Amino acid sequence: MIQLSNTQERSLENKELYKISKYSYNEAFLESTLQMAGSNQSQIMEKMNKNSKYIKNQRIAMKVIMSIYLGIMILVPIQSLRLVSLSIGEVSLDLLLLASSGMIAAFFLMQMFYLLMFGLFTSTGFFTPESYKWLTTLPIENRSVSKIGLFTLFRSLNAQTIIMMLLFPIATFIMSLNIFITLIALVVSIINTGLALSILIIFGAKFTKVINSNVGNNRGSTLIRIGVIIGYLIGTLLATMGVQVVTPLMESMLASTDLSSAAIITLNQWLSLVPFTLSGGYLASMLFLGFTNFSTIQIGSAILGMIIQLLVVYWLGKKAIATFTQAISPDDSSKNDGKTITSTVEDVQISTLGQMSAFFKKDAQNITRDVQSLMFVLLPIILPTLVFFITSVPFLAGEEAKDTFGIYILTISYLFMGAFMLMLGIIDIDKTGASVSASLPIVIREQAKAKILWAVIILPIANLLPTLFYIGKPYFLEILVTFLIIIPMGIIFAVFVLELKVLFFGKMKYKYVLDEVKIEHKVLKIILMVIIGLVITIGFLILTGVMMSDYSMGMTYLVLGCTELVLGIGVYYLFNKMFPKTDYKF
Amino acid sequence: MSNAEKMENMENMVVVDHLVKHFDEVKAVDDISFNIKKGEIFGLLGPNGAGKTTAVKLMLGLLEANQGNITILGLDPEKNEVELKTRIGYVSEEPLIYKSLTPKELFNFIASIRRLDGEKVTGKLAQYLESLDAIEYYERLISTLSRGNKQKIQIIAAILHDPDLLIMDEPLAGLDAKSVKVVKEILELHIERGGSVLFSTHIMEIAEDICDRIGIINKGKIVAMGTFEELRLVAKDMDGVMDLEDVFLKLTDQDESVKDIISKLRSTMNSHRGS
Ligand SMILES: Nc1ncnc2c1ncn2[C@@H]1O[C@H](COP(=O)(O)OP(=O)(O)O)[C@@H](O)[C@H]1O
Ligand SMILES: [Mg+2]
Repeated sequence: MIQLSNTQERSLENKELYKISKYSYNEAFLESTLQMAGSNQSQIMEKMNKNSKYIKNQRIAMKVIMSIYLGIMILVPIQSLRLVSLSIGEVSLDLLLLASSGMIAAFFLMQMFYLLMFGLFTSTGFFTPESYKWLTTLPIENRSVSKIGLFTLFRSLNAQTIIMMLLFPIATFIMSLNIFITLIALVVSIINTGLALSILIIFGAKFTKVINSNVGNNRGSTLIRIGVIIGYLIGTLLATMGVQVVTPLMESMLASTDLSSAAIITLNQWLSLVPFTLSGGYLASMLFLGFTNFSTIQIGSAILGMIIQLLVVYWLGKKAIATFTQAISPDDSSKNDGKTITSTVEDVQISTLGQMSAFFKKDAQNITRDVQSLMFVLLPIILPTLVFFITSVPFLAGEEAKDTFGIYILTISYLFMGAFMLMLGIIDIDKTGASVSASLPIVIREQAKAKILWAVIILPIANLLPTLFYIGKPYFLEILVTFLIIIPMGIIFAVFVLELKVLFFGKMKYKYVLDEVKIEHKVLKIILMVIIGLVITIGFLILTGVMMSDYSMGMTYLVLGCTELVLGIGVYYLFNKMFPKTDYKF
Repeated sequence: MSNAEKMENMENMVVVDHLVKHFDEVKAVDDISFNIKKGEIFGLLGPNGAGKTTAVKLMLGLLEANQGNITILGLDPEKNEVELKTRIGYVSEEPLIYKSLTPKELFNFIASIRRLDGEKVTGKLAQYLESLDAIEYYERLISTLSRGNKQKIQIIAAILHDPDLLIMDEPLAGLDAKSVKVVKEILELHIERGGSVLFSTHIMEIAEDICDRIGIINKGKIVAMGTFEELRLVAKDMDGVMDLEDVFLKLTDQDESVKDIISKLRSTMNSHRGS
């Protein structure tokens, strides 16, 4: 007889639940890997059969990359603390305290934004009931399911979280060589990390809900979704960059300040009451500078700030768990939005387009609903715009950047990078429809043209938007013309990237396809593509650089234009070779 | 080619001739040959991993054969891919059908790619959707649909253009009883119109129910082929004790392992009962 039944649901220990969460984590990871694989699912499966560690290795590789990325940030607190210890004796201790706390607080904020920026996109899959549905078939309480969910989420972020938590204490230890200060720094860091995680969970649950909302064809909800993603990207990017401004700001403050010492002391007392993230910064800074040097009020307010923060963490943590539990409970999806559409026969109305337009329309519909594809389309626009915004604003850039040559290097780099990302992202969209496209009489040329159309639309916007920030400056016209001249090069490069990708991955006996049919040595091929892309980018940069420094602008434009013409004919020729016009008529 | 041969090829919608495909060491398809005639439902019956999906993908030109020839509707699937695909419908094993679209957007896309007449196809589509109870979620995201409902969408997508040949890889997976009935009806109409079907499945009952003729495939080889009548005769010849099911299991090397598994199952069940 089978013993387990629903009436005998066991209450499982946390330890057991954590073990179970390994399976849900693997499941979710596998699911997303397979989804990305598209028509290559069988190959991936085969690989997994041959090498049972395949998925595990992939997972670990991802963690290592993330960890290295976060680990580099340790330079920020080390640099801050070094600056502080160099200034001891040079300026008043209170000013030093203000600067040091400001920098440490900024570091904590930066960490949080990094976690929000990277954590959210790697973990949206863990915020939906789908990842845990199969658990409800087991004799496990609902409460335990939500615990498993939390553990699963933690598994996806554990390395990053732990590294985040350790960065500040390690930096403190390196700079102070004092165990006690390091321990306090660790406590402060743990509390901050707790807060950051809670915010990530609350944000993530809400974010995922908006993204995954059921309504497919509602224009309003599509706009909201795009708005949310753009807002999120711009918000976190701006915040990260904004926070990075704090350190130089503090440096310049240490060099000269108009504030009276009394004003600084009062400011310190008030600021150290701000729980996130200033009070932690103050506590650590005071320890670093010597506790005995500060008044009881100053120490007291920092500690009070920390206690307030502890309460906030406790409250937010509870709220985060509740939000998460609700997000992954299966019955939540029904009340997700009360307006699931039920169609009738009258709604069925087919209208047709040409192949290229049909592909373009389908891609557009896809992009508005899929975070990853949307990122590929938006980032080429948002990144340069933000960077140019920051470099063109005198306050942020320090002194005004007049160096137009630097501007051209920047815009060419972003244009090429954007073209590269955009094309790979746009080609990948068709993966999720592999079985449909496998059966359709697709003229590959039309499909490829639809992909290139994206580059033709996105790249000019991406390259021209930044020029807005230079309106009214004396060299505006020069910038505008130069930016216009290099746009065709970006598009040519995009076409070349498409051709390269197809040459590497899509060569069949009688034709080339956009799908990845040859996936052997995938990593090697991708690295090769990146290198080729870099070589071309650098080559164009050198050409532009040499022309601009040695010749007149007019000559430069002429040479660039001719280069574009020659390369353009080249990629067009290759395009015709790879995707010949078909004489077959439908 | 002699005239007689030509005639025969006319009648054969599909000719698969000594087809071989290997992945590294795995011989997924190992020298198989079969024909499918006009108006016939041909079944490929075999256990998981037998090579059915690989054979199907070869026929569609999605994979390149190492050896052998395929002629479908008189065309070479690798060379005349586009033309061929206007005349065949394909239901794949995994319904990878653009999860971020709605069925409405998907069908508009398909109709555009196939250059179908919008007005004509609208009525037909509505009919299919209605008969498969699929109209309700016509404007919901495909990612939110159940496996069975995705399968229905995929099946409709494969027949919308009245293809001459339908290639279906485990098409009934996930469908409810009513939909299975409707799909069978659709297949019947398709055959009446003079179409043909390649139908892959690992379930013998389904093959027996639907197919006119089957090839039993195991480890990439076709180990028996014929109508069910013919196969039953073979079954009688073999020791006389076997029914068709046993023949299928025996031909596909599953009989020993099945006996083994069943006896193990029995003993564990019994020990549980005892305790
Ligand atoms: N792309 C591939 N790469 C490597 N091996 C594969 C690939 N596709 C299928 N195989 C292998 O070929 C054999 C036949 O698989 P398949 O045709 O999918 O069987 P079926 O559809 O009958 O279940 C299996 O051993 C499978 O692992
Ligand atoms: Mg199969």
